[in-house]
Amino acid sequence: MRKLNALASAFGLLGMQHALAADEAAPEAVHRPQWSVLVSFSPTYTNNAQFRRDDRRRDVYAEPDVLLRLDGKLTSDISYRLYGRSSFDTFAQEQIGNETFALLGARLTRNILDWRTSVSYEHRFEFAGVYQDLLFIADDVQISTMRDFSYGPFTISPTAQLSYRFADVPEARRYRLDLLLPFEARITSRWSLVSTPFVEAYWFTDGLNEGRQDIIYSTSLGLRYSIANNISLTTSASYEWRTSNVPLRHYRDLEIGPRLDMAF
Amino acid sequence: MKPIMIAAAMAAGLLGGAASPSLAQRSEAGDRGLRLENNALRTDVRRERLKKPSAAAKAKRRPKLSDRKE
Repeated sequence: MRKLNALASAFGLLGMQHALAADEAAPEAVHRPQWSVLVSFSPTYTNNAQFRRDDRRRDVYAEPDVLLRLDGKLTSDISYRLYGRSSFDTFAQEQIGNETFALLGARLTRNILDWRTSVSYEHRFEFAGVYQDLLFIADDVQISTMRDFSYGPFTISPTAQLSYRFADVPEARRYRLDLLLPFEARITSRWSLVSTPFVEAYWFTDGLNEGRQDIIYSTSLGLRYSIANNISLTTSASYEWRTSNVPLRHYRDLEIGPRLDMAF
Repeated sequence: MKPIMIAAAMAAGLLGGAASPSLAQRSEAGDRGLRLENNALRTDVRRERLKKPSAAAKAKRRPKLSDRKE
């Protein structure tokens, strides 16, 4: 245990020493880490498969998303999450738009004034096609905060997150700020009206994209049916548009489709 | 043609993919994975309220032998 304490001290792990101390003093208070798997699947219609300003093409794509995670607590107020995640898009016609990511991540979360505040790190592999050509490898560092506000059947969950992407391809390096305002209105015990409006700003820092600034606005409206506590089906429409100081990067996109989410 | 106009034309060409594929691919790196990332963001929000069925709940659902006898 002393060795572990020294190790934690050496690496300056947040709260790790307290956790280890608690482990020594009161083993019954230690929270057992828990594994879980989250799976989503969604066939979606889009009216701009390639996110083009011009030459917009309609298509349908499938997008499975699998997340394996381990949740635990370092102390009574700091939780951690280790996770692996992968997802890909595969289009019916516009197969040049097929792409994939796979990542490993770690996150520490603490409540600050009732806001769930997290710092996270993700090591990401980005592929063209479905796990075909490796495009770049990135390291994302992120800080985020969110809180739920409930008023009767209504819940809003304002969220802010700021990240920086380090990457082996300079053009992928950028800051990103997300401001989300997810909203849910419970209609019955199983049905809810949901919406996830957000604004994203990107500041690219290197390579050919140096100086490029994008802003993405997105809004959505959907109906969620809770099949069970761990399974839900959400059918929604989302509209997204991007402005940029590189006019070629402007686009508008409407997407409609059902999404099945499961937790195990 | 002024130098700034030439530079702008070159930049537009590069970003539009008119230059060599490698340069075009490099500038596209800023866009690759965008749809996946934004959908992941939306997915995280949707999945926020899903609850993993706990072992206790599973045990509760499983009928006990004594229940069957009754």
